[in-house]
Amino acid sequence: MSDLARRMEELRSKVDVGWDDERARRVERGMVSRRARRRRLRVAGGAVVVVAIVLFALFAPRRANAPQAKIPALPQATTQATAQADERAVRTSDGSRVELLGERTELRPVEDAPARVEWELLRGRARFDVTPRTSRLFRVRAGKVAVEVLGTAFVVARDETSTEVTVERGRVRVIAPTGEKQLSAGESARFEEPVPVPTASNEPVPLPSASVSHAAGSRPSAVATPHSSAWRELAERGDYDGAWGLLRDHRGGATNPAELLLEADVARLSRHPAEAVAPLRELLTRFPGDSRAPLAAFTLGRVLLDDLGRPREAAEAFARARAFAPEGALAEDALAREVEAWSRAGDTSTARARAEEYERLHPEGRRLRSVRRFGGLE
Amino acid sequence: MEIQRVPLRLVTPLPDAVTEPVSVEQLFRAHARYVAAIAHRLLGRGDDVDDVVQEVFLSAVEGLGRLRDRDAVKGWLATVTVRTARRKLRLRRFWAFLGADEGHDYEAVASNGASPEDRALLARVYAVLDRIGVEQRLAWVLRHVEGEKLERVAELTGCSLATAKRRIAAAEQAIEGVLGHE
Repeated sequence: MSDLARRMEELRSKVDVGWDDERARRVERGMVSRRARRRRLRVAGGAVVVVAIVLFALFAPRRANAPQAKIPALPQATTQATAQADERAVRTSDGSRVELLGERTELRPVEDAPARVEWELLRGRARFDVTPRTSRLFRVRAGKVAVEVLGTAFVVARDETSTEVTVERGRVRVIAPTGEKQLSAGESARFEEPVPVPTASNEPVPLPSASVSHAAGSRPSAVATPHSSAWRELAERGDYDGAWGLLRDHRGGATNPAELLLEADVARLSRHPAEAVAPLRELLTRFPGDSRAPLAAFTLGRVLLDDLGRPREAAEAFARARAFAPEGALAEDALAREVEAWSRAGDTSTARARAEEYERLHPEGRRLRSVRRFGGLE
Repeated sequence: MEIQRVPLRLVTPLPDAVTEPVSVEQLFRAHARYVAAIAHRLLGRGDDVDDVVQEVFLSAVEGLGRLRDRDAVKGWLATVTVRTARRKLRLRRFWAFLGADEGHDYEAVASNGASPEDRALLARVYAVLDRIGVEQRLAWVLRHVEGEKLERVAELTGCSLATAKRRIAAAEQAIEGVLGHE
């Protein structure tokens, strides 16, 4: 048996679907709806007039409006979204309609699946007319603000300092760093972008190897938590919310890279990504030679870029991940994400340079397309 | 939509067995978790899993008829799941070829409670699986993640034992080539 096969045998029990009653009910509802749709189509197949009416009802609005793209044609949809036109509209597979309002609106489709449709508004204004469907989540992200709906019409406008949500019909739930808010028809709310907290340089302090060890007296001066083992046990059982509840007020006691990584995981997976930064940075500072340092740096980059909207710091973290292990398994992804991060930070020249490096190192890389897009090589 | 029609092996009913038509809802509630678990290991993406689970049961009940042998039903559902997942994976590769599928963050493949290192390794494995052939992927996952015997892998994927072995070896070589020796 190969090493990989042996390792997978050990990990087999760790690959398990998160299947609970709520998910089962949701999937079952979707299955029942799908079956009903198929029955309706079979009946309609025997009645030409009914089929024609259904098709007309589905497609007539599309013909009457500006050119639209049907998802999934993701690259084309994205291109259309950034074209300099007064108004563009697309229709998702569930019949919802997305309109780009004004010039330079940049909208990116993230996901289009039966259970979930998600868009990301990078800048500008867009109007979303969402088909009511209880078995499908429709979500729009704009910076750190997320809007989730079941069936409504609303406008999201994003600029460099804030995101504004205006509801025309129905009701939406807005999730922002400051908390959640529900808006009804006629209401609007503005959410300011949090000001990034200035951080000290994250360049590693070169530590003599002796200081990295757990020699007596080298422990951090944090408060020893009476729940130090309890939060770990909860985390290892997958109860990240419970683990965070114990860890939240008693942090800083981690003594080794494994604990620091676990602490970061608890923060991330209990939806407190900002709290994952400190343990990851601590690992990189105290244990730069540890084999988990590349993983910690990569995870830090993802948190900073995807969860906290701090692309410049994220780019530096991804660069460190690569520097720790230039030939490691994370190197390709780290470079690809670094390109994206520099692009989002507005540093197009660095993004382009990194993109060209990616092309050179990984001419058939799996992220080549996104690297070319973010690096301005298309 | 293609309908799966799988020939069933009829078993002589037990004298006191009560046989009656089985609804898709009954079948779903009895076996959804089982099917979802297989689909999750084959596909790695949550929304694809939900989609495949729905398709499996809709296909299954149309060809099921009367439930006879409970054990045979699970094995048969596994076969339908592999076939449905195969279609989903081929579609995924098609969109990837067109540039409409730029990969996925597979951090959620690992169950809750997995260590950060295990989670990261599984995420990398599944990212690599997206890059190899669908048949190789199915065979390798059924063998090394699902833990099926070689003969059962061949049966589930509809190929000979020799072909199954060859596909598994090819997948392993490809994965190790990318990951190195972890």
